[in-house]
Amino acid sequence: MVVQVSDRFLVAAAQAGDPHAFEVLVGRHQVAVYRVALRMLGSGVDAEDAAQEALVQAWRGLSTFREESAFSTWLYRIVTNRCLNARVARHPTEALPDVLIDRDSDPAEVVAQSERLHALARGMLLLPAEQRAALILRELEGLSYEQIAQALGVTVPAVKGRIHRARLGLLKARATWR
Amino acid sequence: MALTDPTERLPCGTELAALITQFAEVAPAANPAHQARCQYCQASLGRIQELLSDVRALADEPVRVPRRLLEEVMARVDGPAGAVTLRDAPRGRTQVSEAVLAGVARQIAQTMPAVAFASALAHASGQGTVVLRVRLVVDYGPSLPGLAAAVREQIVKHVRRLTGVRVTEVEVSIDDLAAPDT
Repeated sequence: MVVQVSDRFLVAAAQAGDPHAFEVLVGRHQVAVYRVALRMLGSGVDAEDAAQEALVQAWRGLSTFREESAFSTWLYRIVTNRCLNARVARHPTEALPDVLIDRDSDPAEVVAQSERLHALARGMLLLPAEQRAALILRELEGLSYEQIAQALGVTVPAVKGRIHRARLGLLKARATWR
Repeated sequence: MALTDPTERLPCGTELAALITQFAEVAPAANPAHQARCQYCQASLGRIQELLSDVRALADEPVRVPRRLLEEVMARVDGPAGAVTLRDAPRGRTQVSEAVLAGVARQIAQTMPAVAFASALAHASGQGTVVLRVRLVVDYGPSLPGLAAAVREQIVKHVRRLTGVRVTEVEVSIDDLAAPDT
């Protein structure tokens, strides 16, 4: 039932003061907010804190949300800003959750891929935070360059430059993980 | 840590950055004839392909959100603070909060046919009375004035019955049509 309701309606209701409408919005967007925080910070505990703070900040700042951007882009902006100002976990523990084991796949290949993805998630944590944020929003969240530019408050060419440098950095760092 | 020298070149003189752009943006190679037979270019392209495919695999990894996240957020979200005081009883007064009244009104509206989603706000308007504002997302089909009247009537009746509070006004707005089921 709830899937039939637009973000736009829920935002308007929440802005008018209905916490229930906001709860539906949180339920809808918490995965994306948490996922960005997890990939930005590398620790589940830190990600949970950042996601919680971001969502509470969204409630308190709802009156400042104008429909110039999608609500999701606005949330990405809030959580990314929090994470840009936070410290990355020194010993990333939960940068990568368990890889799902597909019954048909070769266990050795599953382990190898799991290790590669683990290394990738850790390698991302070594990138400069601005590059990491742009890469995450593009590659993991699938935002357009324009949406990323809105979320990060920079120009589209700047976004492209950051993503490009992030890919290059990952590629070069990759040799050293092996 | 300086991981990146954007001008780094392969031993054959090709810029690594150019190969990444070629791959990520699906652009044509600057020098296809060279690339096809150059071992350095081919090796780098293989590494780039593997990296980008791992990035896609990482994007597909399910992430489990801690179950308490929603709860913890909502515990810090403050709803309306007011309350309606019922007529003084001899052994202490009874109050019903605006949050409860809004919740009751929402649930009543929500149970009506053709109402896909309801949001409600309550404002204490005097002793034992409340004004409600209800916003609806409705299914395509029914007569909207008829639906609004039915919602209003049910809310007035059941809020009174369930809470003892008299509803002096129900403003109903139909704000959106439900997206069709997919």
